[in-house]
Amino acid sequence: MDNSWAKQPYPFLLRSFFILIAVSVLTFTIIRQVRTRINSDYIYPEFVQISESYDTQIIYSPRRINILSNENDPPRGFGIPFGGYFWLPVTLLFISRDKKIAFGLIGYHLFLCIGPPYMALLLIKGNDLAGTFLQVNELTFILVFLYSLLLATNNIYNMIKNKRPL
Amino acid sequence: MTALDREKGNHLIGFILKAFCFYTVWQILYDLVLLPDGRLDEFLALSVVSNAKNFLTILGWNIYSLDRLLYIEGYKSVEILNGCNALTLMALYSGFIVSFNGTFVNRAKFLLIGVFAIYVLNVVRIMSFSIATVYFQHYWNLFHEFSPFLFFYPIVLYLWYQWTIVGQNNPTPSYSDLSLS
Repeated sequence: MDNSWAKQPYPFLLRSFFILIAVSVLTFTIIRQVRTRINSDYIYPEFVQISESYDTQIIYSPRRINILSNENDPPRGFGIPFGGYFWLPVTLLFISRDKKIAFGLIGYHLFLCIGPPYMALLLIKGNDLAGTFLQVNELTFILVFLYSLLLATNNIYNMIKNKRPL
Repeated sequence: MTALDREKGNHLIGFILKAFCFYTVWQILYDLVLLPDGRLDEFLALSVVSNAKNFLTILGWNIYSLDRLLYIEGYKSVEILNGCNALTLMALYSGFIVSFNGTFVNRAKFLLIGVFAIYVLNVVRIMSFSIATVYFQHYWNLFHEFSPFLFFYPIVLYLWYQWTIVGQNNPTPSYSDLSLS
């Protein structure tokens, strides 16, 4: 039986609150800038270079790559992973002790480092279906984010309500 | 890993796959039919502009509209692009409702209520964008970026949560134990 919770000097809600504040500060002060830097220094120039050989335009956004393959179509693209849409749910999942789903979320964001950029390359090279899948990924991305939030907050609520060891 | 954990994991993966299939079908339909046709996007954008303008006029604002542009006299205009008409969010919301188990009637109810709620919230969001040009133009981009967290996500999460409860109370033969209640 795990009794480690009993040794904690601060109440669960207070600890959770401080953890969330700390992660938010970290996200806005460091992680946000790192993602912007990675995009502007490495990813964006690389995509611009590739797109020069094809009839596509890359639209710069601090933490996104948007591709305009046809002027009549809306831009399609992908966000730089491990942003706020990752850190908020993963923190709540760890607080709620739902480690399996937290690791699933980490795995999904690792996939986002490879899958969408590859699809973006295909879109630049003229594969319109890749643009469709980039949009499907955007929808799935928000679904995963919101559903993780839902699971985590529900678990935390149940932990408090049922007075389970926190 | 216990058998229950494995079963839960399988249900979760099944749910995500179902949603992924729904979004794929939706996006293909959108790219091949709705986007080239343009009427649905146009209707949503223009009706949101019209409703936002009417409500702001009732509230006493001197507001004008031109096609997809909405502007308060003397301030910058707000343009409702296709990405701002909330159609994507309606598809996102519907994907969850369709993929999670429940009866047909309840599912239809939740789809109608949710899509209508998102439409109304988008009108309120566009109204707030216009008012933001008056009071905090410098922070407009930040406000725009985080607007889904203020207007859409809380209601979408609430309705999804309710749907998991309704789904559990009226289980279908393939009822999933992913319910949050």
